[in-house]
Formats: sequence, C-alpha cells, structure tokens
Amino acid sequence: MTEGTGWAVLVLPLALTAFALLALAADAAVGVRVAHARRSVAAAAADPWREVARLLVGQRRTTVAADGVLWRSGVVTVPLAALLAALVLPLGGFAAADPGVGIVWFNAMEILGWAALWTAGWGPNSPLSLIGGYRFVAQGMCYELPHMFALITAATGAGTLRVGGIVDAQAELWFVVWMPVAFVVYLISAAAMAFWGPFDAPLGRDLSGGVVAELSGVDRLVLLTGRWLLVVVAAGMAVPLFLGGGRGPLLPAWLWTLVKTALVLTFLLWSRRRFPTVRMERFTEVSWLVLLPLTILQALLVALVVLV
Amino acid sequence: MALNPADADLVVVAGPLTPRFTEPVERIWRQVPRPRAFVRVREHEVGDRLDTASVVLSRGGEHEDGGGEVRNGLVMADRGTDRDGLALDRLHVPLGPLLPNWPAGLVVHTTLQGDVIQHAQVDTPDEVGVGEDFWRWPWWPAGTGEKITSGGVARIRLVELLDALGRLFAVAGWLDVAMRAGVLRDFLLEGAESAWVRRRLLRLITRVRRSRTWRWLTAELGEHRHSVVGDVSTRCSAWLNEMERLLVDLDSIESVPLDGPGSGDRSVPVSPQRVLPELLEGTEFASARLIVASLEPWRSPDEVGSPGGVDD
Amino acid sequence: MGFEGIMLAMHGFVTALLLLGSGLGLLGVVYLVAWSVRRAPAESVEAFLSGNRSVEHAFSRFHVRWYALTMLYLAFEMEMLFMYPWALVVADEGASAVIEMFVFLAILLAGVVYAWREGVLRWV
Repeated sequence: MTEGTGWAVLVLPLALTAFALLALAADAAVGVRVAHARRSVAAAAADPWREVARLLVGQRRTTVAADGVLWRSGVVTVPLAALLAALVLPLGGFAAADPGVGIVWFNAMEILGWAALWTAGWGPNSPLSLIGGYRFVAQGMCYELPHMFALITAATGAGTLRVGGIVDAQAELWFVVWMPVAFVVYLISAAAMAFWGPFDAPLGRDLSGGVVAELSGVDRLVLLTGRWLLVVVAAGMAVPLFLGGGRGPLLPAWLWTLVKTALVLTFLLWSRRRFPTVRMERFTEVSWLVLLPLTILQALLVALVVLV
Repeated sequence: MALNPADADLVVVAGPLTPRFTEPVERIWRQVPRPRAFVRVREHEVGDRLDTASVVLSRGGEHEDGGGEVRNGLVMADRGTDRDGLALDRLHVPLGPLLPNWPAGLVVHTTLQGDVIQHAQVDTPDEVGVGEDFWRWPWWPAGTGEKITSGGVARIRLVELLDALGRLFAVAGWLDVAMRAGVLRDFLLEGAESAWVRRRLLRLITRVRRSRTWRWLTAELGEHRHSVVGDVSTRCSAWLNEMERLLVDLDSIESVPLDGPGSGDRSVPVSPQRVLPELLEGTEFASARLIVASLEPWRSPDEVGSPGGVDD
Repeated sequence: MGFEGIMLAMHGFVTALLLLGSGLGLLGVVYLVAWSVRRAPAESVEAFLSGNRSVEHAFSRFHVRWYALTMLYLAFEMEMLFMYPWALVVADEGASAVIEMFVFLAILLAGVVYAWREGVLRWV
C-alpha cells in the first residue's frame, strides 16, 4: 500500500467532509419523500448547505456556570477523533498512513470520541445534556467489546494489524464471506460508536437533543459535522476490513472503495430511519449475552482456520 | 421544529398567551441564539406571519428583543437517599410546559438521581392554564345549524390519535414513522381524500404492528395494576386498533346527534395527577418520556367526544 | 534497526501528527469564518429546562446505576490488550495459543453469565 505524505493530510479532511455532505444531501432528499413535503428533491438536497450557513452565522452561547474547557474541548474532539481514525483508511491502494498497528490506532481514536461526547455532555451544566453524556458512557460498555472482537477477528484472519495487510489477505476471499458475524457486529457497533440511529439516545429526542441541547452556532456545526465524519469513517473502514478493499471488476480500486463505502453508508442511513432508538437498559443483555459470545465464537472459528 | 432553544431561530406563539405561559415563553425566547424572531399568531394568519419572520431572519434582524439579565449563583444539588438507602445527589428537573413532543399544558416536577426519577409531582391543568380545547372542533358548527357527520367525528379523532402517536414515535426516536404520522395528521386536517388517507394509514398501522423491535423496546413499560391498562406497547396497539375502526366511518355522512357519540371504551381513563407519579417513579428518563407519551392525559372516558364543557 | 528503519516505522505517526495539525487548522478556519460573519457576540444563557427557571447546578454526583457493569467491562478490556498481539502470533504459536486464549475467554464469559444472573445487566 502506498502511503501519502504532505498533501494527503490536507486532502483527507476535505474529502471526508465532502463525502459526508453528499450523504447528508442524499439523506435530506429521502426525507422529502417521507415527509410528503411540497418541495423539490433538489431544494431539499441544498438543505445541508443552508444549515451550514445558518450555524456559521448563528450566535454562540454559553450557559450559566458552564465548564467551558471540557465542553468546547469535547465538541472539537468529536471531528478530530473521526479525522485521526481516518488516518489508516485506504482509498484503493493508497492511504495517508499504513502503520503496523493500524487497527489499534483506529480503535483508539474511536474511543477518543467516547470521552469527547461525555465531556461535551457534562460541560454545559444542563441536566438534559448531562444525562445524554452519561448515556453514551453506558452505550460504550455495550458496543465496545463486540466491536473490538470484530476488529480482532479480521486481524487474526490476516495475521496482521496493518490495514493494508488485511486488504491483501482478502485477495482470494473477502472476509465478509467467512466472518459474517463479525461483519454484522461491526456494522451495529459502528452505528453505536457514531451515536447514530438507532443508537442515538445520547442525542435523543426525549432529551430534547441531549448532548447537543445547549449547543448553538458554530459549536453545534462542529459537533454534528464530527458525527457525520464518524459515520463516514466507520462505513469506510468496513471496506478494507471485510469487503476486500478496492477489489472488484472493471472499475479502478479507488472507485470501488467509494462505491462500497457508499453502500455501507446507505445501510446506516436506512437503519436510522427504520428503527426506533435502542435504549441501553434493554440492549445491554443482548449485547453481553448474544453479540459478545457470538463474536468470540467467530474469532475462535477464524483462529482455527488460520491454524489449519 | 427545533428540539431546544439553542437550535431554534423562531419563537412562535400560536393562540392566546395565558399568564401561566408568559414567563416560560420569555425565558425560552432569551435562550434562542441571534438572529432570531418572535412571532404571535392568531387563527388564519399563520402563513403571513411566518413569511414576515423568515424575511426578518434572512436579513439577520431581530424582530422583538426580550432583554433581561442572566442570573448567576446556582445552588449545588442536594442529597437524598436512593432506593438502596445510599445518600446521592438529587436534581430537580421540571418537564413541561414548553418541551417538544410533550402533551400541551402538562407539567411534571421530577426529582432525578442519575437518570432515574425518584419522585414526580404533577401540576393540575388549572395551575397550568390549558388553552381552549382545539379537539372540540367537529362540534363548532353545532350552533350554526350545519350538519355534523360521523365521518367528520372520525376524522377529528383520527387527527387526535395521529398527533398522540406522532409524539410517542418521536420520543422513541422512530423518525420515519413519526414523520409519516405527522404527515397524515396534517393532510387529514386539510381534508385530504379518504381513500388516500386509508391506504397510507393502513400501511403505517401494519408497519408498527409488525415491528418486533418496537414491541421489545416498549413492552413492560408503564404498567400499573390499578390505574392504567397494559403497558406502552399495548396502549399503542389499542390506538392502532381504534384508528383501524375509525377508518371504516371516515366516509360516513350520517348525522351525529348534538350530544355527540357515546363515550364507550375509547380511551384509557387517566387522571394525570393520580396516575403519572405512580407510573413514573423508579423509571429511567427515556422510559418516563415514553410512558407519558403513551397516555392521553387530559382525557377521561366521559369526556371523549362530548361537545360540552370539561368538568375538571 | 538503524536510524532509517526507525524513521520508516515512525512514518505513520508523523503523518498522524500532521493530520492532527491540519484538522486543528481547519477547525481554526471554521471558527474564524464563524467569528467574522457572526451577527452577535457570544452570550451566557440559562440551561434549557422546559421554560422553567434553573435554580441548581446540573453538575452532581450522577447516580451511575450500571456501576457493576463497568467492572465487568474493565475485566474484558484488559483481556483485549492481550488479544491484539495474540492476533499477530497465533499462526506461528499454533494450537496452544488458541487453546489458552479461548479457555481464558470462556472463563471470562462464565463471569458474564454469573453477573447476568446477579442482575448486573439490568439496572432499572
């Protein structure tokens, strides 16, 4: 795998944001159909841009006796965590970096988002935000372990923690074929990690926005953009881990990567509309008694195949 | 609609601003970031007023300023024993009157430890000052000698149920279904043709009934032996069943006697002051919101469909 | 490993630092743009409480009812630290590595079952 230098670190954030904005526009267009609104799809597709402008112009607020440092650092860390996780994300045969511990790096950066959302919820000294922040901590207890087992299963199958190596190991057979459980669990945990519906309780409507209940203006823009970046990066990572990276007939590798990422992202967008918010109070048992043993069995199976 | 003042641009007061609401509305207005606009609408002028507001907003102007000072010097949360006898911090969080997807006029004062409701107390409707009852409109023409049809009565009850369902699904974070319920409600109010409504509503009902996720998430929530029937899941199913029955009447032009249809068993007898504290205490925040959304708090069986005044 | 070898191994992390810098720079640009087009300076407001006056701090010792779950989580999390390097060597180490790892995991899972029976996974 080729590693990028200089310009890659500038292009990567812009490319991710552009991809996220496209996805947002597509999602807004679908929303028009659902809402049966009397406006054109094209007008709805422009909504994300209008929203960006609105939030840039909007007044920033702070709340009485807020913990400004924790609050703002949590807000900016969400997009930064997504961006840093994208470091190891390959586009075809190219990645900004392909360190020997790529999988661990990706995992560590996601966990940064875990802390970030909690501090963003704690900061404004508002009960609804606070509850939202704590909800995400509880959510982490449920998605993180199955998520790590899914990552490790792919790494075990390839015998390396290097993302490029994992892609190479799928030359003959995509991992999704013989690690279906790990793939499905990865998708579930990816949504949970990005506090994305149906795992959006930290930003729940019942909490009037939860963690973002007190965020206005550019601060709100930054956190919500960070959330979209997290979703895009999580969808993008499914491609090298399970879907054979840039492999495919006819099209060039970079285009295949984009197509597969878009497909995974479409699934995540669909599931957000499809399911009600899953409360951790109910999900914990499913996660610990079903998903966790299943991923361990999947890892065992892969380890046995590797041995033979 | 924005979920919180921080995300809002407009504060719209529709209908009369009763004394009980003046202070909360002013407070919300102060929390809305600039540029912002304050709009008051009476009947039939919604469109015009909102157009003006959007012009004001696009110029970045301020339509009406609240002013006022921000108080500092909050006190720290006090402590109280939890169910295991541990002394823990308690937060006092009032829910309502101005909360999205919350029944109009309801105020529940909760005491939270973590996100569990330890204690709940409900303001009576009189204290809150609920405005005039919108849901009596099929009988508005009563004085004018116009005929009231059972189709019209079914339509308004459907609107009411879709409003309640939309609230329940929204609180549950079921975006798509909540939005579809809202669309149907609005189209019904505008007098959409019944075949169209029937087709879409039946599809919605089937979808909710088939959802195992929905049942899994709402079963065993808000059960109480004496005061209410079933849990959130079964109360939602009861609404769906009632809607299915109402769809049959939608085209009927049979006149309805002026004293309204029989009260029957159309809704759960609920007196919020008595029931809500019992139901909410010991639940966690999200469940509490679902429980409130699964009830029709201002409705008692003798009130259903009656054109007369409310006795409470 | 000579100096060049070290530089090669470090390459990814140097890029990571550059990426962090570029992310911070972009955030700076976004905040600068917002500052230059702002219509009103930042303001302090009361926390949103359904239109009610806020009288107390939300900052509090939050009752974390899933406390026991965090202990269970930590036990597993420590195990995950072993599993990353294990994934690299399992093919070379052979059957013994697999047996040891999964016996360990089975013991941890027994702990999960015990915790479940004690009601740790349900907290409301």
